[in-house]
Amino acid sequence: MPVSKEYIIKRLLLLVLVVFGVLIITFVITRIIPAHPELLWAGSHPTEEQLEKARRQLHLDKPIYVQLYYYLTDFIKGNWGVSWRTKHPVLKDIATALPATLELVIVAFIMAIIIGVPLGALAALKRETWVDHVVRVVSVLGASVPVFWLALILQLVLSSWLGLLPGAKRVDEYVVIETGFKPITGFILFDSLIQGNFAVFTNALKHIILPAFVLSMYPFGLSARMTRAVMSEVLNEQHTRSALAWGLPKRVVIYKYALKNALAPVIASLGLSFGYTIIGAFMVELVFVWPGLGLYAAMALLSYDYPAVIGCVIVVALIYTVINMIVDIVHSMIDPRVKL
Amino acid sequence: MQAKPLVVRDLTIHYYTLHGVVKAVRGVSFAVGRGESLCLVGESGSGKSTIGLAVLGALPSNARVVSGKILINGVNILELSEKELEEIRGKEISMIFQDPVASFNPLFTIGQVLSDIIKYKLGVRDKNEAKKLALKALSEVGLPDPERIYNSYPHELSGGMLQRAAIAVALATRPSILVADEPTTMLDVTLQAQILDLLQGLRRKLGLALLFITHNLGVVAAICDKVLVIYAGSVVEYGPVDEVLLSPLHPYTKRLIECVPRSSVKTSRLKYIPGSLPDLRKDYPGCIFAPRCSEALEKCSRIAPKFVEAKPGHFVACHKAVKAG
Repeated sequence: MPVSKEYIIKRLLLLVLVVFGVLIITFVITRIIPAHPELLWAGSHPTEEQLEKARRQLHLDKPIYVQLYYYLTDFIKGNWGVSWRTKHPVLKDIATALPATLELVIVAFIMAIIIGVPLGALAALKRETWVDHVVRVVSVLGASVPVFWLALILQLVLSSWLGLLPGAKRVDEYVVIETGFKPITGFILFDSLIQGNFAVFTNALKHIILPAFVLSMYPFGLSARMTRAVMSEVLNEQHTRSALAWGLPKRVVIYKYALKNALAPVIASLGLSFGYTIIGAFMVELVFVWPGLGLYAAMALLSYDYPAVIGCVIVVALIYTVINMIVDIVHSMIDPRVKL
Repeated sequence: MQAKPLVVRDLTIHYYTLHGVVKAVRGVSFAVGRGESLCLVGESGSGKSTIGLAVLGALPSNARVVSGKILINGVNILELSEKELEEIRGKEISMIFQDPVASFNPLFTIGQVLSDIIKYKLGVRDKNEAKKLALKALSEVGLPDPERIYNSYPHELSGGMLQRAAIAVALATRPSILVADEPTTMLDVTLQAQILDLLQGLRRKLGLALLFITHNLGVVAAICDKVLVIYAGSVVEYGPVDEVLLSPLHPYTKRLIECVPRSSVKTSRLKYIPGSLPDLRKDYPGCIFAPRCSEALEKCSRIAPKFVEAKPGHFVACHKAVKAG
């Protein structure tokens, strides 16, 4: 693999820097907001003594730089505070919610790529024909339709009216209880598959179709547009004409050679769209009662649950950085000219 | 006598553009025999590259062959389907291009391309067998260390090496015709000579019919048996290379030769042909070169000159040259 040690070290340092930056920002924001955490901490109708104790416990009686010190060391120790809403440690809450979101996002991206890339390639091959126009309309719609609207409409039509697919939650509890399913990684599709529990697998699969489809619309539109653009460019390049002149069959030139050229930019753009997809996940999870990070963060925001919000922000920043690293590495695997 | 591998008869090609129909090739005929090399010579925009692409059945989508025939080993490729053309490309006719770096997909090794062509064109499914053939093709074009070249990506090789590799790829399937579209233009001079020598050697060894497209008369002298001079899509002169270069008949060919700078002759200015290519959307009743011709007669712009054999084997389309001859 053309990835050097220096690159990995550089990226890890960058990761630390990003997290540090996010921590500083969240620290500053929570100190600026005129909230009185000790009031929430101490419970209702506290005595002055109880409040004093709460301030001590939360280090609010110390100077600001000491507070920052505690804030950072607590974070490193994994002590991300307790959610004011769920009363669980934030890190534990996130660990439970994150796999649900990742599963949803991964399935959505797989759907987006499987449908978007071939459609984009087809549009590039059939430029300026009805195929191209249909793909254009569908992909532009896909990229621009508001996620919450599409989620509600599909939930209403496919789930409520037609009853074709479940419209809420990840899996039906009764299936889980009946089959005695125990999650391992928290990725239900993966866990049920390796345990050979097909009842849970099919049930979870049915549940994930609608939210994943809604979530896949933006990356789908993006990858279709991107593939079409890059493909039409590659098909006009000299090396495509040479390959055809040398007698390589057209299907090989297109689907083996040209498509590989198109893949790197498509993957890069999908990596960048990840942030947008996470925002989409917040709405999709809210609509489909999907017990993931989006739902957790949304509820935390609505109930001023600062520790939970900060935890979510940090995790999303972490994921974003890691995704960018993965995109870089994948790019270097596709393109031998890229040395990391 | 066996039919010549490549015969082009009265080929006329039009480009359909937003600004009108461009009549790029206007009734061009020629033939290339086994082991023979023919040069198409002309300025940029004269239609020589269009002819090269047409011969491979690989014209851009906005170009159309309006009339004429292209016979490859006796088969008119204009009557073939896309699938049948695919079959012929590589097997009977292949091509090398001006820019060797751009000719290779940057994401694939030379070996991958070569093996794929051997797999699909020669039907060699066995991987080791295909690799053996590929290495043989690479060593045939004088590439040192074929194993390394096989595993190299285009960006790891120089232009000269890539052009050799391109020749290896084009000839790996043993076509009887090779079209070379300015294959040395982008290489530096020492490499040019090497590539020309290589092509010359392979032509003799394999009995290749070589269609060489260039604007460089020095290259013409080095590689060709016969020369076909094209101006604005029309053939103006045709003959053996010595005849055409040493005693050109057509004024256009004369000017073209005068334009080659010589180190032996001290000139203060570089020569050029006044004027520019005519508007190819229009039809011209007379000689198409007449407006730029310093020797034009009164009838030149009215009556098209016939393409006649002025000397044995030396053809020209010019009123004045024929009269003088």
